[in-house]
Amino acid sequence: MASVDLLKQYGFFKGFSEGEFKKLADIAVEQSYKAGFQIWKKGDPAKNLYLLKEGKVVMVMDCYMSADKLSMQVTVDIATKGDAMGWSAVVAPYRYTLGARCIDDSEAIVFDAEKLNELLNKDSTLGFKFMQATAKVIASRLTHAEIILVGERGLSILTEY
Amino acid sequence: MFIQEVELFKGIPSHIIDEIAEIVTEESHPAGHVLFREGDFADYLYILEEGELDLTIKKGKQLSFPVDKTGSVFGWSSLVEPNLYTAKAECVKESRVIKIDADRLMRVFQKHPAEGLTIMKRLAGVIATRLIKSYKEFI
Repeated sequence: MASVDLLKQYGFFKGFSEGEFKKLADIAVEQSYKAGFQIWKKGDPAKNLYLLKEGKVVMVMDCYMSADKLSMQVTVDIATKGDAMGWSAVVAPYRYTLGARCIDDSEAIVFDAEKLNELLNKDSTLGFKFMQATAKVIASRLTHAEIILVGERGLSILTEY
Repeated sequence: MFIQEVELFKGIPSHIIDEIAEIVTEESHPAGHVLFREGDFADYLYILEEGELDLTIKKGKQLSFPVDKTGSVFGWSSLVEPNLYTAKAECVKESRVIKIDADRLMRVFQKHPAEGLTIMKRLAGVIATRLIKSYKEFI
């Protein structure tokens, strides 16, 4: 279980009440990951939603340049301290749209998707606020993706393997 | 077109649909008409009834998303902070749209949070679909 005081530090929960923080804290756990660890892969069932407490996690997609070459992981976005990631846990079809790999030792507050969705449906006032916050996260990722697409900087290649 | 036929509002009880219907207006616009520009304050959610629009983002390069299916929802920034449109919406053909006052829609959601949650989940899906389309452009 995570503490209410810890959750209160996250902008994601702007406008949530004391009682709502308590319900969310009850289903949250803290987890640590070593640098290099892949938390999830694209297409995996979205089992958790995360709030990053420490470290850096890159959102990656696998690119196949040609049939005879191995895939490359391309960084599409980066999550740092305070960011929410794994929004697919609360949005149908509940599968991750990118992979997530730690590039630093990282710590996260983890919400189990099943428990979280159950809570959102049971307490729809909390659920509505949570979905508004999630929509904001997705919209911000979209803005970032579109800036890359219309900009000149393009994507950086993270790893070839 | 009846709003309960729009995917976003499917299955929502009729007394709530009636409340939403009160804050809806219909508009027709000729080709070339701009409904909103990127960075404008987002005060309306739109649904395409007939015609075709382009959502365009332009910096160095240009990125366009066509809106050509009846019932397509756009202008979702009106319900998501910081409430600024993220693209320009321009009619490609003469088009008819349903326009919903976002402030008043938000009040309906606050009054009926269970339905507000259902609609907000669907709206998150609409934004996610555009995000996934953007990711496909990377390849």
